[in-house]
Amino acid sequence: MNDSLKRLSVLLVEDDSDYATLVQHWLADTENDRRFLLSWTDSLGSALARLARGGIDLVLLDLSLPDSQGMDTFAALSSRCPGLPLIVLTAADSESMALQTIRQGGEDYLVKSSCTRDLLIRNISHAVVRNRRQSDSQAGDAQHKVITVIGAKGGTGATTVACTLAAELRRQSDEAVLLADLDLDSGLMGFLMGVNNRFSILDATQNLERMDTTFWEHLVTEVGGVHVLPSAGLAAGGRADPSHLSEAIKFAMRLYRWVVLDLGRLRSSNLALIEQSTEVMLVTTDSIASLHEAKRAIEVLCVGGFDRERIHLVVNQVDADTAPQRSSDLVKLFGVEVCARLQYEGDAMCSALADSKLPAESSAFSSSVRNVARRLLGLEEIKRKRSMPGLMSFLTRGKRQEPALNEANLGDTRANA
Amino acid sequence: MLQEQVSTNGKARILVYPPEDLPYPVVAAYLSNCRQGLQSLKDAVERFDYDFIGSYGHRMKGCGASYGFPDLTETGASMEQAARVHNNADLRSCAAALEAHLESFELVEP
Repeated sequence: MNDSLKRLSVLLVEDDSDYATLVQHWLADTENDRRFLLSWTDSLGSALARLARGGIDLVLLDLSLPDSQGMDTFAALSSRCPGLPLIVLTAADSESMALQTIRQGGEDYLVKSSCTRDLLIRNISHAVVRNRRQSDSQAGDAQHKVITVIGAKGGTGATTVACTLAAELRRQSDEAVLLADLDLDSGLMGFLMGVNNRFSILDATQNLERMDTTFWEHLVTEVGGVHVLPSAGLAAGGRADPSHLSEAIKFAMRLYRWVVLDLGRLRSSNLALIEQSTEVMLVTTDSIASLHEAKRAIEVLCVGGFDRERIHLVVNQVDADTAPQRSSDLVKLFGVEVCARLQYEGDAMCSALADSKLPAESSAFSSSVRNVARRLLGLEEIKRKRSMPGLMSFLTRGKRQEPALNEANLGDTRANA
Repeated sequence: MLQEQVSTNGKARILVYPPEDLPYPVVAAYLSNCRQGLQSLKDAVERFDYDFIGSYGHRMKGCGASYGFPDLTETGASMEQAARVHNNADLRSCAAALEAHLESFELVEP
């Protein structure tokens, strides 16, 4: 049996204590491989209050309650909790109400007098599976995009790129954006985004069985319109099963138009997470060591079946005035697009990062990332005027000497891949 | 087989075996609740409190069979219907039938 089906949190909305006792015994007396956590409320009002607290997987609903009767009960509850599987469990044996329930999105209509323990358990299990399959299918249909940012090696600034990209996607589109840190030991994203939340991506992976929109919203922190879910950092010592991380991201894909994942470095343990990605942003510096690792990562991704066209190289920390022709060298050597060369802006950037802030919106760095975001959004790029310090730098410093790029100094990485 | 009709000294009794999916004490508690609630039903019939009777019948219709008492489900359904149309003769008849059922049920401890 699927793990996510093992503990189902069921809310019974029933004003007859005798029937509530019956259901409690039915659900408690099940085989060892199936567990139900039953909550009971005896009115519509108390049911809505309980649902608002989150963590309910399914509702068993009696239609005749002290504060609501008939299909009004169903309508009131289903409109407040869209997507939550709901089974009507009523004494009224009415074909027309049963049809109306199904038409309005109910999972099932069970008549109390003919309901048995086995029938109820089977219907609950089927309803949850059906509902999850439907949600997954809707998530697949949605126009969401998952952008995974990978650092070729440590110190390439991949987290800064991921955070800035998420912020710019939000600024440029006003669409729902999630920024999640899958570099579990790092904790840098929380620092850069100024998030001091006790919840992390680990909490999402450890509560999949009770995950719903309300629970998710407790986990994330909103920063400038972006929902941020940081990692717990090395100190937390938590480890997440990659399949659970994958499930958590799949859930998030239902809620956001854009999901930006900071994966840290590419490792065999996180390779499977790339499968859900629409695009991969591989962040490197232009040092030989970093480019070598970038080339290796590209080959690993391609061998793993990820389309080369969906991999984009981001060269970070470049000197403002280094030769732009290096981009074409990289394209030739790596066979992937160089989607941005991000300037290192010295002291200004250092002090922003030290203050737990992203680079200023007016910086060349943010401007370049903004254009990456606009390209992803299908918008025209914004040309940025060269700043005076940049011009002065150009006039005074001249061209930096770069080591030649070739197969020899990057090495044949295929063996490593 | 959930029920068995027997007769002792000319008095009819219905032996009720608890459903397999419910423990005996739970079914016994339900039967006890029904017996305790009988007087309140009879009072409601006397004062023509159709809302109370309708609700009482509706609950009995829902619970009875699941606890192993299909007769209670049937009587509950008739009671709910009679309350809906304010049929006092049927209501009295239902209350009497219910009283007879509850007196004759004898829960068999496994």
